[in-house]
Amino acid sequence: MPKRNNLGDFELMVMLALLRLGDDAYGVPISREIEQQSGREVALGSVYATLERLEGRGLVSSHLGKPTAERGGKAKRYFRVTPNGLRKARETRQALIKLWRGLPELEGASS
Amino acid sequence: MNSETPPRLAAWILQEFGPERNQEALAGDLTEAFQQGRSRVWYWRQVVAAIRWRKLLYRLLILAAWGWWMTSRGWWRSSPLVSRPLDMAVFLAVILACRFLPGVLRGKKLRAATAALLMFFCWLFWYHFDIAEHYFICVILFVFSYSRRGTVPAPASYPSTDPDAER
Repeated sequence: MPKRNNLGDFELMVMLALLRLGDDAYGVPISREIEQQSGREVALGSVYATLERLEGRGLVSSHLGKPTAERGGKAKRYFRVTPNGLRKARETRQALIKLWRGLPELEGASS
Repeated sequence: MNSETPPRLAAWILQEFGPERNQEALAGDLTEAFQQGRSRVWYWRQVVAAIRWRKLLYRLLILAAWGWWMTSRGWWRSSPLVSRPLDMAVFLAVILACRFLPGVLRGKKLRAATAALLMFFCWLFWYHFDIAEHYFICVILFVFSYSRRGTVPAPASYPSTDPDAER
């Protein structure tokens, strides 16, 4: 089975949300950002499963914050896109743009 | 803001059957979102979506296999109390209760549940001594599970993967 190269659509959404949020990227804001931008409800479990996968591929790194009382004494895990992840996001964008070109049905106003 | 605490059972299910690596962060995020006004239904939906079903299935299959093996050793045949399928169902229920009740119930509720279960076992031993061996294992499991819960500390967070954070 060939190794998967480009990012899936949800992976790309998560990566873009991380880039938009910068240093404040942890579970709650990431899912909120995706919900606001995509208009669909997101399960936090799916976000973490995706982040775990991206981290395994070296596209995202993470570190633990301090535990807080309002989170029931649980620490936040902050995520950040690595240089490798940034490159992969660019490559995926390029691939999508190439596929998008030359499709008259998808150009112009949405109707 | 929501001043209530998140559903305890859902929180426990997440702890037992949720993802291993990001369990703490996920539980904290769900609590935070709940405190910010998300509903109990939302919390439950998130927990159900986060459960590792394969892990849950493996545990249930192992339990069922063990229950089948325990009840197929002939003790049930001499039992005047119940048929084998019912016997097995009771056996599995008791094992599940032994394993999981201490995590769900705390304080007075746990003590009451413990007392009720022990009384149930005493009743079984007294009136159905022929199957006592069968249920004695459950008592051991229950006592072991209860004592273990109180002494084992919560798992520590796994180390940070960010080299900057360690400096």
